[in-house]
Amino acid sequence: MRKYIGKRLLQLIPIILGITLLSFALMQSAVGDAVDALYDNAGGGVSEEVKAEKRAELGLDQPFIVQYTTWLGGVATGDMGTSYISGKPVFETFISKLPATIYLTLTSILLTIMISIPFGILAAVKQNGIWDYIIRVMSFMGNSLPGFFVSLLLIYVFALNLKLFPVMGNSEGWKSIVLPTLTLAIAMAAKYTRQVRATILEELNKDYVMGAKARGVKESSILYASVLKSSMLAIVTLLALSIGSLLGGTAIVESIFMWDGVGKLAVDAIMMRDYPMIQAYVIWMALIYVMVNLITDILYHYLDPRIRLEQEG
Amino acid sequence: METIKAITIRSQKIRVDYTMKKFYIFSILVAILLLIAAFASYLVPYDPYQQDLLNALTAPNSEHLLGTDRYGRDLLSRVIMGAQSTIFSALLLVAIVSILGTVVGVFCGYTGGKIDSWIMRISDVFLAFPGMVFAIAVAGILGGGIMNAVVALACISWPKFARLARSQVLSIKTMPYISAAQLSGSKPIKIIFKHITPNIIGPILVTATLDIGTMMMELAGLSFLGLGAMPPIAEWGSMMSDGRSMLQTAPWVILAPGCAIFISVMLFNLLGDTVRDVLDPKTKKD
Repeated sequence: MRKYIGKRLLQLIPIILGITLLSFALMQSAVGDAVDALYDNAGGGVSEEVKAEKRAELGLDQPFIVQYTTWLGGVATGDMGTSYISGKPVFETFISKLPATIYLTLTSILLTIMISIPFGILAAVKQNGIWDYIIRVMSFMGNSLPGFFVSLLLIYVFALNLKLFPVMGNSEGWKSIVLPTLTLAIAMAAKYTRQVRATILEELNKDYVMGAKARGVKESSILYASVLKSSMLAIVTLLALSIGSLLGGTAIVESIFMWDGVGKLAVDAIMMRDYPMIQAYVIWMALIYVMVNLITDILYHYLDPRIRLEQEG
Repeated sequence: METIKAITIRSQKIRVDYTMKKFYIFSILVAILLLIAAFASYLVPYDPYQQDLLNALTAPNSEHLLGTDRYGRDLLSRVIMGAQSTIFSALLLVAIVSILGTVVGVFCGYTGGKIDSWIMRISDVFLAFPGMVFAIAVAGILGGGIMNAVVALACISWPKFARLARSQVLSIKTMPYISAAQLSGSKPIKIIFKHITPNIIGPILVTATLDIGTMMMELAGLSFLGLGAMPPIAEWGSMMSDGRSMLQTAPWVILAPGCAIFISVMLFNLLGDTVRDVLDPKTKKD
């Protein structure tokens, strides 16, 4: 087991090398750089000499490959550089934004599970009944609502009119997380309820369920002891993927609610061409990607011991 | 026995009829939407770009059915006009992505080997990363504009279709009739176009139809962030972004385009679902 995990973690190195090189190249091809972004935002009117000086200071005048290797050398020695814009160390800035994103990921995943699993089961068990119908219509509607529209509606109703929750920011403790969580959970729950329902229906149509029914096993114990357990595999995979992409920050929701997480940080860094900050984000994404895949494979193995780990690695 | 058989056949027939009826209804509704988008400039009651500052931010009334925005522009006209940019760019995006992805997927699936495993690894990475941030990065690099937003989303969305096409090709490739075609000396190009493509087009068409709604939301999302359609162009996402600051005093400014997105996305999703039921009766929805 330990050897397997080690082997999988080794995959991180080529992934990080590839993806950082790619994003470096991508940002280099962009129109304008951090210096332009910095001075143009400050009101413009800065002479080209000043800009050139700043570029030399940041090393932006160097050829692309030199910039990349300098940055890589820094990372190898544990230095991720300083932000071109704020001048603060990238690593510390990035780490300081992580808790907000992790917090939001946890709450929205929890709420999603709390909504979609019971409703998905209910819809599957009462297939074609009134509850099934209502749940399906709701999840269909939830699937067709863009996140930014949901968040604006929630802000309008719960923050501006009822004044129950703050409009934005994460300063008011648990209250400030309610609306962003709801926005994310509505979209995800709509998707997962359908998924849970479909998965469970598929399981319910299998022969062993009929066998158990024929032997007189209670329906509820068939459901909880057998069906749910085997449906979990599909659901866990989906959830893991969602957790992965949530940990990457939800660009739109984070920026609407001014939720100070890594998604907003990444968007800001992209807009300002803050290369070192973008690189930190990219490394974080590579980490998540590898970890999520690893954890899903291990969970698979525990949920269904027939799936062997070694084959995957 | 005979009666039971008759009943099952009859209920199957009813089900097929029902699906076809749904398919016609949703097709007609989507067609109406597309017609509105196509003839938007003839349908608008007012000029969607004409400013009228005296009537800025008026609530919906008999003259302006959906109210006006902060420049006094008629929102109904802007929503109708926005249908054009929003829906057609989403359709363009889906067309690009599904064709590009299918070509890549068919190529990978048919040839296999090293190139295949490399391209699939790349598509894995694309699928794993949060698409929106990736799209924002590409759109940010290209600069604003709705066509750049389309390119940005195309960059991140092709892997889905590539994977789908590839898996379809892999399962068809081993069929006897393909071997027969190969043995009788058909060129790979002919096999791909004549024997493989017609058999994989169904699932791809279903996925493409189901994707229109999602793509529309993502395009509007980019515009909402200021990375898609640029003001003053009437586009639903950028109209909502424009109305954001007046949410408290003039909620109709975001409600009108928001509901327009919601309704059209839902229509395309409904159509996608029925297209799936029609093309693939084996995977019953219920």
